[in-house]
Amino acid sequence: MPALLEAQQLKKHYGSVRALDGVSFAVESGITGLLGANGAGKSTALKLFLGLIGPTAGRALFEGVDVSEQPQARQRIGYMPEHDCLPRNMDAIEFLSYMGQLSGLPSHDARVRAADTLRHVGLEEERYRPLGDYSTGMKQRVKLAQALVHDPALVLLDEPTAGLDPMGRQQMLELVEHTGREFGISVVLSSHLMGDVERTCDRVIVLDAGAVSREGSVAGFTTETTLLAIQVTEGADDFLAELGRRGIESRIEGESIVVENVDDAGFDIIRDAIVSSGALLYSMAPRQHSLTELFRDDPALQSLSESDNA
Amino acid sequence: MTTEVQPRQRSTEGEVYDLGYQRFEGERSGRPQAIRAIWRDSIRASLGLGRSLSSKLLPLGLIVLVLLPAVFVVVIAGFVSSFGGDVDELELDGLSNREYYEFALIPLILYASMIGPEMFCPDRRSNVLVLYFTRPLTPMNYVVARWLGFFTVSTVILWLPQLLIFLTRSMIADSPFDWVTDNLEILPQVALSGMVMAAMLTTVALAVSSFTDRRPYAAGAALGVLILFSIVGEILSELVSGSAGDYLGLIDMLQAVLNVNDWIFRDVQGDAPLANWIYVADVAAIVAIGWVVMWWRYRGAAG
Repeated sequence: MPALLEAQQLKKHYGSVRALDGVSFAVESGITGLLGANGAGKSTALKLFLGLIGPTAGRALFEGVDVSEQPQARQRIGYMPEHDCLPRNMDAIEFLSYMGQLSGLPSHDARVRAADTLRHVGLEEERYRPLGDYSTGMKQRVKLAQALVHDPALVLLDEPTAGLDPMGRQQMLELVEHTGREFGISVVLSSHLMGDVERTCDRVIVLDAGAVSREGSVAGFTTETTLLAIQVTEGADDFLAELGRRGIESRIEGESIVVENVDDAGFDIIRDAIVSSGALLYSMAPRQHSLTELFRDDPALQSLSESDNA
Repeated sequence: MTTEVQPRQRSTEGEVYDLGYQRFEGERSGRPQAIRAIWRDSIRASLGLGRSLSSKLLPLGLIVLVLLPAVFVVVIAGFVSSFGGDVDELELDGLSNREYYEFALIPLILYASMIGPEMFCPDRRSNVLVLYFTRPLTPMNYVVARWLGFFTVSTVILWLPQLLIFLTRSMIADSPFDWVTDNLEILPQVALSGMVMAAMLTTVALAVSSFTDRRPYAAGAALGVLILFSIVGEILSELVSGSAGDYLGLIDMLQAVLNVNDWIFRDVQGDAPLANWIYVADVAAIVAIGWVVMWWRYRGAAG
């Protein structure tokens, strides 16, 4: 069975600019992050998979099909572009119904699914308002809804949290997770924000200057750590002092006390230190690295970390 | 011991079930459905339907302008007839089908110039084209669907008053059935001539408006192209003597389509200096050039 998406030695050159330079990767079902700084080639890759532009060399396949040769395949793909793309004078229900029909749904089904999809993205009450009156967050939701209205097998999201405030970003990421995990629609999330990818994605493909620099499961990246994070609700100072007396090096990071390289004997010492210091233990768990931490030392990816912290 | 049977309690309140996300299991019609959807949307946009009241006024006003003489004829004929007057004295034959199209050309030019840009400009301005082309559509499918939508409305606008007059004449005739059978040949002429006019004006208006996302600019430019070419064609044919002037006059698109109109209604005695087929070829060439322009403007619109 062919992969959901597959890039085979995919190249796209614009004159002397190499937007993609012979990349090969496969995307299976689930939520996959396409991570990279601006200009890394993410949007170009999405356009190639949608068949909107032709490759300089190589192939971009959806379920084994080159979409540029068979545009009919697009009725099973949804796409949410980064930029503003909504008509101001249409209301949301009319617009979504129209988009559903453009994807091949019969008129009645398109109307029903438009209402359902607006409910799923939390815009049921606003469905008769002109899109020109919507806030940025609402517009992003309508853009997501139009990508889902025809019940695609795969949805490609290009920077879905762009321009959103923290609350809007949180809500959008929840919707992306819902889409991938509860609706059963596979998602490719293109983003320059590591936090978005880390939070929502199962797998990540990191693009840098038109090439794949890293690829793998997010869990695989983020569990490679020897740190133990301990949180106590009372007696933190006494606990730290007790750890020092017992020869355990520790430091405070945020709300946690972090200990490195803990072996079995180390766990016993920490347990005893908690008891003897009288600290109230709240949690103790291996610390997961964030993608930001993992990529911090990679010069090519430092711009991502900065973006994430912004 | 007996057991008392309780009547079944029926809830007086409805219950709402959240069925969650529902997969679509129905049939997907792909590209044909997409083209139909754009065609329908184009018809709505051509008539201002689903738009604000101010957006409705202009198309409806221009449509009324095309219909007005026909409605006037119908009302007067009905009035005279109901009072036992002689309808023939109204000389309805003076308002021939050919002449009605000559009259209707002016409001249709205004309609095509001012409403035609509604087909392309809003989509370009709101950047919505990317959503069209990430669906099972090609840019040319989009152009064809938009063109067909506007062409449909323009054609119906031209046909409607002609049909109204045709029906009125048949009804006031001594023998309506005989009148219809005697004049049946008018209908294909009306249909063809209306389609030729609508095709040319639709193509010119849409081709010109494909250069901008601003409706007022597109409307002005479309009107300017139609009128300017007409004036220049007229001047050239006057200034340059002989057949060269006649051929230069072919850039007058409006006169060309009127000459084709004359030919379709077999009023071959007209003043047209060139053979009829040359005017047919001229109009066909104008439509073809318009299509090349639209193809050129939209060939890379997907990426």
